Amino acid sequence: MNISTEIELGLKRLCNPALINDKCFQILLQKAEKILGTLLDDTSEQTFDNESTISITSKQDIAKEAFASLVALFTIASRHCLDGKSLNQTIQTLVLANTDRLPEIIKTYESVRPRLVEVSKITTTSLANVVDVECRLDYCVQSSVFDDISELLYKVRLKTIDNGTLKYIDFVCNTQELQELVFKLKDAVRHLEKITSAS
Amino acid sequence: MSSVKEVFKISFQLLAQQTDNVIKDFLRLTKDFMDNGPNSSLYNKAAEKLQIDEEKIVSIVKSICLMCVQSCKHKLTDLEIKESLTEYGFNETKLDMIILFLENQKPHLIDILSSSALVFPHFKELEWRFETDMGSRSLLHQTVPVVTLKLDLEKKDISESLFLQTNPLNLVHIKDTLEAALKQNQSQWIRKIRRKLK
Repeated sequence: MNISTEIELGLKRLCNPALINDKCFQILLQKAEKILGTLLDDTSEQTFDNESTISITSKQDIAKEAFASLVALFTIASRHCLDGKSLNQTIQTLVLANTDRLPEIIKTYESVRPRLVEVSKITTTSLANVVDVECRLDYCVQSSVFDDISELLYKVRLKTIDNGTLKYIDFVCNTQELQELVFKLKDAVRHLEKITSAS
Repeated sequence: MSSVKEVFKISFQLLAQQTDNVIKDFLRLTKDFMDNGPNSSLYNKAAEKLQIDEEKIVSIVKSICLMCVQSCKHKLTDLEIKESLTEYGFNETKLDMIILFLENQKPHLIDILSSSALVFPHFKELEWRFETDMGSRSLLHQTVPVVTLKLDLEKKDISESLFLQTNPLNLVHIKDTLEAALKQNQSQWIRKIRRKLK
């Protein structure tokens, strides 16, 4: 895991009691936990705005730098799938000034990690994801063109999520076409089961 | 001004009086009308040859065409068509010629009629591929099973390919739902509805 010199500096400052006092350190940790723990929630931005930096006194620019470094560190660590122990080893070599604060940083990381991994998993380019299917069986009796149709028609609706947007794909199948579709799906499921049982 | 029904009646009565060869020519003209639309020079020649007004020639061609379309729309059997045409005075040979012509044109006509009907995108083909997401920019190491699907839909001879993906669990769910829907058409309820509406 590579960390830029800017982040390294920010972390060193975060662990330096002369620059960031204990109260400020705690607030920054809490803020990071709140923001990363509520990613993709509608309330995340609000909490960030409300709890401003009132209690962070004179060195606001340093506090901001330290906070940014902390958030970046957590994000990079989760990207590399690091657990608390590995992250501890990594930053111990970087931040030697005050090791008292490290366990608390690691503790915060472990608490936000599951959410971060979850968000990282869905932050990707992907095709529209089929999440559900609905089906309706209609019996076609007559139309404006044909007097007598007498055909069973299945109306299929695939519910998909495309980059967070819900979309529907509608199409129809007669009995033969649906049989073919089910046959293909069964074939896919059979192969999947085969792979799962073999591994 | 005569109604369509009257024009149809007069045209078929006139057609029934013609010789077998002339009827064959009319059927040929109708085929040309169906394939290429009206062709006044052909009707002009036919009118001169048969000593009939060009207008009447056009009426006969259109009447044969209308008869063919209506037979397809109502899914009439050969016997029903014969019965309805007998009243205009056609003999057996002429009727057979018309029926044969209609039989030949039927698939083409049904195709055209179907395409003009209300059409939804139809399922055509499904291809699938099993993959595992190994890593992404935001998560370098992962193993997420993914089933990529290529769903081909067809609407009025125009194909559309949709690329989708799902996870194995959802794939099983989709299969189960559609399989259950397929079994539904064998149920007593559906059979009863079909019997009632036939």
